[in-house]
Amino acid sequence: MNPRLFLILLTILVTCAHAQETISEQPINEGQISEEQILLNGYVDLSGNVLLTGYATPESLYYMPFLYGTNYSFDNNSDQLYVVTDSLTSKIADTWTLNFSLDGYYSDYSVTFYLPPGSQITKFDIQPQLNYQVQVKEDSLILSVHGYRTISPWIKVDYKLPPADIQGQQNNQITSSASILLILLLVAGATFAFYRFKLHKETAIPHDESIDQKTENMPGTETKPMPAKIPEIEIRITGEMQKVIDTLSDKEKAIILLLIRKGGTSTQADIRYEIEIPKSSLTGIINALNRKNIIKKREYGRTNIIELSEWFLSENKVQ
Amino acid sequence: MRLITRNTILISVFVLICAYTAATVIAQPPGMDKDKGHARSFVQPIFMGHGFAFAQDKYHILDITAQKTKEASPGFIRSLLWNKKSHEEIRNEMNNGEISNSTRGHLRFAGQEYALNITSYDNTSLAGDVLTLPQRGADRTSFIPTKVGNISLSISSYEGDILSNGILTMNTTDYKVLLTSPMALKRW
Repeated sequence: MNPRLFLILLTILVTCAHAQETISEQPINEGQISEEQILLNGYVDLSGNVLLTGYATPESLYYMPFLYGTNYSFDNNSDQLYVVTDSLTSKIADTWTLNFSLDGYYSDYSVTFYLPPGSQITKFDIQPQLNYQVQVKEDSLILSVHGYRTISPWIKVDYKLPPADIQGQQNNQITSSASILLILLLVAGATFAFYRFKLHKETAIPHDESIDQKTENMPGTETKPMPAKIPEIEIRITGEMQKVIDTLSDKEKAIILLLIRKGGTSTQADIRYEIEIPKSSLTGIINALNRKNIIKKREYGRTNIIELSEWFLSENKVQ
Repeated sequence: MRLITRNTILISVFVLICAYTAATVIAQPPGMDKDKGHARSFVQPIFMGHGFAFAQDKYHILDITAQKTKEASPGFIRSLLWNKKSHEEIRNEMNNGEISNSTRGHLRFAGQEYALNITSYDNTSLAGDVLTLPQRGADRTSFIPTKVGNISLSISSYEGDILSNGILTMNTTDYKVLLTSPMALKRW
């Protein structure tokens, strides 16, 4: 069998088995009305999730339609139900509705819902046989409902959250995290931009009029549109220059050719990146070229500006 | 010129990790973690009984529910929900912590609802004060209950069922009480 198919089937089987968790037995004989009891607490959070927990007779689970398709646990020893579900609440505009409807017959029915703090109940719709009161405590609006010998009890409560909580709630699980992430991503982006700017500033060459004059006066040069910081002028390699270049090592040649390509000037950092020479090696090579009077080096910030020497550019006339 | 260096990437990754951590740790709704650490929830029936209260030739239907609740702070529960805890994780959180019990009860006598303030109970007895409740649907927040009676029950097994008898005193009138309990209560 195809392993993927096998895994899919296995997953389906496990899922089905899990869903069957405690609903694998038929509750009662058809036509027989059982007498159930529930004593439950329901905690409603800002996003409409409800933790429902407490005592319930095992058969009463079959009369709780919201349990179908929901993961829950039921302790058969203590008859304790634990379920987290969002199927008891719904929202239209800014009004939430809590709908807790059961089937079955209950000799004892006691349910206490704890709505989020600041909730305002706008509408009660509760089975007439049930008695209920509300109570405000510091962290909840408590709705206590109880009754005896009631059939198919139902509770429907519309409530609104305070504006701040509505915003908070909407932001809570989706937007809040996303917003904070977005803000912090912006911070990350700003940090990145700052670092980039700093690096750029360190490696940029200021517009140097002397360079412009030098390159303008160079014979045989063709001027191109010059960038603000790094002038890139094509330098024609004369025969004398070529003779000098031929005496250099491969790495030295690469540096000189790069400088020629870049119009005679570059930063040491750029040379390192473009030729990919280790920093320590490059320093030695630059110093060697400097000693040979082929280049000039001058400090600029945390890097050096490397220029082809006038001697080298003037076709070796000075020497 | 290379603007995206290894250091830049490392710093960006670091900041992103910080951002994610901050978002997951800080982004809780206000007040959600206030009550963390001292919250449990558990509801158990102490007593459920249904029957009659007799006084000479008068009788009334009497229903009683008494329960023991390991009170969970709703704020704590909501913080668990906020943290996307499953029902099993929440159950474990509740069961693993310290347990603070409280009791509450209801009583319906002659069609009128009352609160039952349980003063003592065990497997064979229950006693409590009967207190007034506000009207159906009323706000109980500022309501000051008034004691209107008390009840004392003796619980025992009788002819295969759970039977309770005792005295209910309501507004100075004493009633003999006879109640049966749901079979499910036998387990308790």
